[in-house]
Amino acid sequence: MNIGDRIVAWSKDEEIKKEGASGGLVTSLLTAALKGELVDEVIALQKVSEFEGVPIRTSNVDEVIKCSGSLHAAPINLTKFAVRFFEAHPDGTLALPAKPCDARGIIEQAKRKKINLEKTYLIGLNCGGTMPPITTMKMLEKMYEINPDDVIEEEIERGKLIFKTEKEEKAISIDELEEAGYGRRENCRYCETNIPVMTDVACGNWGAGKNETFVEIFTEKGLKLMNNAIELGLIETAPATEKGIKIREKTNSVMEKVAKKWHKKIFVPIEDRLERFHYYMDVMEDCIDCEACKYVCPVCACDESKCIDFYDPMDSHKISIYHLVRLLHISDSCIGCGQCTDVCPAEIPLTILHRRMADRIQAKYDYIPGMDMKIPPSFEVE
Amino acid sequence: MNKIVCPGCNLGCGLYMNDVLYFRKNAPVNSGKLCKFGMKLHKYEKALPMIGGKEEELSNVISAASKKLAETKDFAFVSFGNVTCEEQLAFTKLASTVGSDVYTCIPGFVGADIEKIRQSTEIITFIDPYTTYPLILRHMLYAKENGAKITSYYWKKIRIADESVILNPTEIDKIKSIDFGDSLVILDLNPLNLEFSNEIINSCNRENIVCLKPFLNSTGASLLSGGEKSIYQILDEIKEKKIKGLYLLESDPRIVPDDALLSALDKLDVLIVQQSAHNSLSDRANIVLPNDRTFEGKGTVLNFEGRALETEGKTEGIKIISEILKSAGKEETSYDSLHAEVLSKLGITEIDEYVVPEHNLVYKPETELKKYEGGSHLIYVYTPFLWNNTIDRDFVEISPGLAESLNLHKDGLLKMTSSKGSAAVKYKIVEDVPDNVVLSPMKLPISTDVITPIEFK
Ligand SMILES: Cc1cc2nc3c(=O)[nH]c(=O)nc-3n(C[C@H](O)[C@H](O)[C@H](O)COP(=O)(O)OP(=O)(O)OC[C@H]3O[C@@H](n4cnc5c(N)ncnc54)[C@H](O)[C@@H]3O)c2cc1C
Ligand code: SF4
Repeated sequence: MNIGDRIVAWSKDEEIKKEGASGGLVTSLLTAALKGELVDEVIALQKVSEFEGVPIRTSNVDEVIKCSGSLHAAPINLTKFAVRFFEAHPDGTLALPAKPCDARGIIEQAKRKKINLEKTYLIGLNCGGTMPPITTMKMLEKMYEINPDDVIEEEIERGKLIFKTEKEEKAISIDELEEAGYGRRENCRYCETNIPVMTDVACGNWGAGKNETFVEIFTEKGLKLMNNAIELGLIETAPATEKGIKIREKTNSVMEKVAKKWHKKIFVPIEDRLERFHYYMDVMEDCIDCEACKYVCPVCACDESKCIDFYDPMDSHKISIYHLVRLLHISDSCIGCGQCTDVCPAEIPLTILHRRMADRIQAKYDYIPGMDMKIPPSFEVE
Repeated sequence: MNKIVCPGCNLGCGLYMNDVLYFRKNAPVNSGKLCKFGMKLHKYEKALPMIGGKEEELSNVISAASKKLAETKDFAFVSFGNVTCEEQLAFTKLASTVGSDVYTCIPGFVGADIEKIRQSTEIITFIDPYTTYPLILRHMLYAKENGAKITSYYWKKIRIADESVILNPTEIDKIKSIDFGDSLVILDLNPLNLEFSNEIINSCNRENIVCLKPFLNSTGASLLSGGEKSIYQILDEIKEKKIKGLYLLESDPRIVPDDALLSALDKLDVLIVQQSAHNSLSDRANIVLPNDRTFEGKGTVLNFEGRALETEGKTEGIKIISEILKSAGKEETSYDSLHAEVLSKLGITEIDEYVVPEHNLVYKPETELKKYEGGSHLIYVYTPFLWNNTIDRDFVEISPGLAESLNLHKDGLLKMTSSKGSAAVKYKIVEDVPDNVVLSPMKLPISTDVITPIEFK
């Protein structure tokens, strides 16, 4: 096996294979990393229901096994949990599943020395988007006429979102759902990174058969992860088929096009300066200064936050300086993960505001954050 | 990670916590959103078991408490609702052993639910949703986006409102002539402003009132404990020696605006506090019993809608109350039996956080709106967070007109005098506060009530 290889693989453990999203490979890579002592701990998402996952950090193999399966309606970013790991264990080693936005957050934190990337095994998950849980439950009742409690399985196939209960299976096209205001989170719709090429291995079901995962190996660490699991007898592999490779590439390029279309639809330029000014003013005035957006932001890495430093609640500004500093400070590193919009109690569309700024800055400096460790953050002074 | 409910107020925001705080994105009330209080909930200094200011073995403190309960006549029990339903019920059982009720100081009243805000077309609000109950704001924004008209009655302009009627203490009667029609009403029911909220409750269709409350389990507590006395009444009765012993469960009477009222506590024969935090109240108590931190108790919490929510954690508080019962020769209690009884009292068989059960709490508000003479007033615009010691604002808000008439300049101090003395405080200028009004998010030593007459000198 070599870097650059594209293969299909699955767990040899029947239970994991059955419970896993597509063959349980990721779960077996994680458990093998613990068993083979490649890592001290693993971060994974423990399933509470189809609509709820709790991030856990563990060295217990059984707990990792309980985390198998993909939770599409648990839009959590795991970056800050990885930061906490390295705060507690500066010399530790870690493995975790990572959607592109998890991986990009982790790389931006690694650039800011909050995560040791050399000691982090990133098992990439292809991602076509996540859904907000509460809205998704409402969608089930309205569009699918299914009680959310009855859902036993959910999957995405050929542009359709499928929900299964004990009795039935219903599929509706994602386009139709999104037209009706449901479906993926807004930022996921315009996210153009579906295959996490910045991780050690990218895993997904595109191009794979039933109960197998399509894997692309990118790094030495990725190779080590795979070989370790093979040596421990936990996974089985086969070369990817030409057809599979084509399907994966084609689906990816279709998804990229859809994302671009959404981007165009959402980011209508505001040419007039005054109008632009009011666009920001209007929504930001609702800010209640809770700083939740900063707390959850995966790329926010200051020990002493500049955004808070310049801000005084006693000032009578219409919008807080806090946001102005943040807009500027995050503009080089914002990865558009949507966590700030998700958390804001005042429903400020923060991700869009940040992306409007970041799109321009990142294009100007020709810098896409979170893609690799080669380029330092553009605002960093040596 | 433990699934918990944010103890900041009675909205019922879902969280997970261990060393990291994580927002439950599928929690029905907050959908993964959180306000300032929830963000900072881990800062607490733990209270230790004490007798007469000295640390003691817990078992000794339990015996001492039990002895005091037996020998002191006229004991009052207060629990605002900063504990789970299970602990509240255990406390109610304990109170009944000495023939007393538990007072929550907030009436049992459950109004409309969140969905009703989202579906309404006319909203009348009496709160500042930006600072008082921020997690309600997004539901109002949702309604507004769908065309709802929002009218605010408050001491200052409220940004989300299409129409802001600015209240002034001197014309407080204005609220009596509001035409509520079928509007949805958003109201804050808390121990300090009962006359105000009662007036509203009596003037409109109760089914249309969204009744927000300040403590983690205010609704559950008032459903399980029958005692109806205001915190002012309790302090008065202590002063008059009608109450001789007081047992406070995770409840701090220092919320009253006038600290002078607290001198009543010195008249008590015995003050028992059972609370998680060590503070000047526990320093003042004869007996201190520890408790699980508000967000660490296991059990059931009822939010302002009457929605039952589950919290994971410990049951130390319940065990302590059970030990006191045992030591008083009464029947012990346990979490499991309490939980079963709570479910049956709530009329449910299991906790489903996505369903709002019906609760029929009878509430007959009987108070008179206070009258305020002309002149200027200091208004204590308390928030639930303040009572959790989390407020970080040490300034008052005044109008540009007042700043100009007093010739105040940036970084200056506003000087005020009341019957209790003078204070000089930092201020912020905000639009549309009446020129004769000062809004304070903190309790100032010169306040005599929620609304205090003042002069600027
Ligand atoms: C939100 C999401 C969207 C996806 N979209 C696509 C897609 O469009 N195309 C495609 O080819 N593949 C997609 N995948 C990947 C695919 O669903 C499988 O995860 C992948 O094929 C590996 O399957 P497995 O059986 O080996 O994983 P498993 O053995 O089931 O392990 C999955 C691991 O992912 C973790 N996990 C589950 N949900 C999340 C989450 N929300 N965030 C972070 N980690 C999580 C679990 O903790 C577990 O450790 C997506 C995955 C997710 C989580
Ligand atoms: S989360 Fe929203 S309300 Fe809180 S600080 Fe950020 S923008 Fe302001």
